[in-house]
Amino acid sequence: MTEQLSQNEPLLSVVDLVKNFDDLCVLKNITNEFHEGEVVSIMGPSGSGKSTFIRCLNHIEEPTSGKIYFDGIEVTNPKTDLDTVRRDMGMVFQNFGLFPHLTAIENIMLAPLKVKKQKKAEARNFALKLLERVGLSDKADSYPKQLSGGQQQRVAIARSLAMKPRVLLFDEPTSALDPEMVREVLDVMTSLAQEGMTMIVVSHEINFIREASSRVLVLVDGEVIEDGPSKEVIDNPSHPRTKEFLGKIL
Amino acid sequence: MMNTKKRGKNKYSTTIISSVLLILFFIYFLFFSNADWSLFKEQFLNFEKMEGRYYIFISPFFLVLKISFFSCFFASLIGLCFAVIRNYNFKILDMLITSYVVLFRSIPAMVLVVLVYFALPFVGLNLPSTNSVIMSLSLLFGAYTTEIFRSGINSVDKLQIEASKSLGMNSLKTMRFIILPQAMRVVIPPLTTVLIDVLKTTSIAYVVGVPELIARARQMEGVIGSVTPLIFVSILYFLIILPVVILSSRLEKRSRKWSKA
Amino acid sequence: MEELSFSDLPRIFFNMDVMEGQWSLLLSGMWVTLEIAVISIVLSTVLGLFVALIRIGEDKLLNVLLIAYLEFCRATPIVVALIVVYFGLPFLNVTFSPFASAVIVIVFVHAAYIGEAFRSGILAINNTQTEAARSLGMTKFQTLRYVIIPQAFKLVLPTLANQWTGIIKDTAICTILAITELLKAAQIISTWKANPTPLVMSTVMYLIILLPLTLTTMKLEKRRGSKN
Repeated sequence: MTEQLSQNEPLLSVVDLVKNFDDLCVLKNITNEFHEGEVVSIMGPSGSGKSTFIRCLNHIEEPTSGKIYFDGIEVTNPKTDLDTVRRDMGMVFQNFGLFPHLTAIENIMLAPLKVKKQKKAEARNFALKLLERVGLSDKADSYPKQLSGGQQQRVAIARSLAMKPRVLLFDEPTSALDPEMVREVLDVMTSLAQEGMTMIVVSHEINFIREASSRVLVLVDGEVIEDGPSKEVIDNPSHPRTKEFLGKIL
Repeated sequence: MMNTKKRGKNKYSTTIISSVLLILFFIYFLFFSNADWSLFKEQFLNFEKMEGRYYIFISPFFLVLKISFFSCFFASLIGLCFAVIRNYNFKILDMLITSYVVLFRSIPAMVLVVLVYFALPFVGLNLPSTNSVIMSLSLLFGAYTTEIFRSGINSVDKLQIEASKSLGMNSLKTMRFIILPQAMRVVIPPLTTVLIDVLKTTSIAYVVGVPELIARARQMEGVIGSVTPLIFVSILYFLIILPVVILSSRLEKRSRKWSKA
Repeated sequence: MEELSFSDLPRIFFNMDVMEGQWSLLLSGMWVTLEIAVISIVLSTVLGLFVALIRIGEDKLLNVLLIAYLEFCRATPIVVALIVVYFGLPFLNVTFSPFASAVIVIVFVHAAYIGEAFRSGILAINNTQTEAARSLGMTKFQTLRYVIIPQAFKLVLPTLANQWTGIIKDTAICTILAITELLKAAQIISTWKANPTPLVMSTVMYLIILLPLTLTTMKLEKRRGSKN
């Protein structure tokens, strides 16, 4: 490990992560560390393995080999109880993944009630606070179908926050949204970042990356070709593939 | 699916529970139900005793096919006519057809077969039992085919109807040349399901004394003192129905692909 | 038979004099029918859900077994199955009461269909929801219980209602066993009184049970159709 000098242990660390789909090698020996309070963005061309990478972190995708440690626990160890680990790792999906048979507030309360066995009143109070935080107090009793894409995604974020996770994973949270709705979701994410939430975000939203995230990983063909402070990487990319890629999206 | 290779303590829990239940059930059946399995071959698969008697099943075999064919034919005819009539939205006819559908979807096949067979002679209608079964089954399944044909007709784009009318075709011609040919494609997979049901339901004819497969098997069962004829008949049924089952699921798969494309 | 006029029909088919003193037999028959139906509906639905859960479990061997089971049920008439269980098994010294035979056969056959219905319902729910639930730390069981099954149930309800109607209808086939359910009771009285009125009355009773179910099913089917 290179960062032995850092005072605190990394919250999440990845060692030699490999993921193959049949013969296709999607992730090639990725090693990295994520510290508490960090906001890390991951970008790269489509098919570069960013989504697979972030889905491996909470083991929704099973890595082919390599190790992942979360708060000292080896996630990749078959003996680890994943359900316990996942409680502390929230995830926000591209397609929201809200439960359509439940209202917004029920979506948020479900996991605290069933997984953490919280009291109903307690869960409800916290859910209302979270809805207020994402600016949707008035939508508590709406069903997902009655909400716009941006509102749905904000509920999904609130739902993840309800478990008080130590890290939030975002898998292209704005790419399924109409352009006018991207802003409202990014605002919520930015304010979370400012409050010190540890976040790992797969995204192409350059402004968000520059403003809110501290570090950027550029993933190309399953390898991290660049890893550095956001502003530096975006304004002064060193790797030619990064330049090429940024040129396309800017 | 996520986690295709299951892991941790949940690894095979569902599988294990269900396997254990299945095994317990079989153990119960094998050892605790007092079943005398030594008799199994003699009683259930004693095909030696049936030698020279298979010819008895030839005519009932064709009788089952005949009943199924005519029932399906008349049921489809009823369905097609009623669906076409409903398409024209005459209020009274609509109501009548809808009540027919609801009524005959609610009557158990067995009840109708018995009712038709026992009740009609009282009004002087002495149908042969085979015909009364064909009549009952046609009426019953006509209710299903009406809905099948109707949804087939409804599946045709309204725009095409307007287009064909603008070409000067009258509504009968539109039905004949534009709507029905397209509806057929939608209609055929569910019709094969009806065919399966009809084939299975013909076995009810046994109750009203139609000399079909089961009736013959039960007679022979008495003569040779073994259930083997019944097993033979269930294999026969299986052989008749299975090809249709396979055809039906294949058609369904194809139509699903078709509707996706 | 003498010439009949239209006015004779009520005397033949709705002759209430024939029914006098016979209602109790008919009603007890209906009670037996309802007992078989309710027990079979509950058991086959539970068993069907179980079948579906095993089938989505992706265990190859169990899947093959259950597919064979389904195809077997699709291709076997209930009459045949009933006769084998009730008249055939005693040859192996296994004797079930007519009531038990009826329930066993109906549950066995319909659980296969209901299982298939549940399976397609569960598979229709998109995978992101499973992933979302699991990412919140919910177990597989919790995900099924709180997220997947409530939705699958709603999706499957029309098919399920249809199957339940089918179960009630199939109870009439049990008339071939030595059990006095509704149809058998009607046949007994009809034969004794030489009049079809009891049969007509039993048909009416079946309709009283089944019409509301059919209407509900059709309404549900229509709603599902308009949603798609």
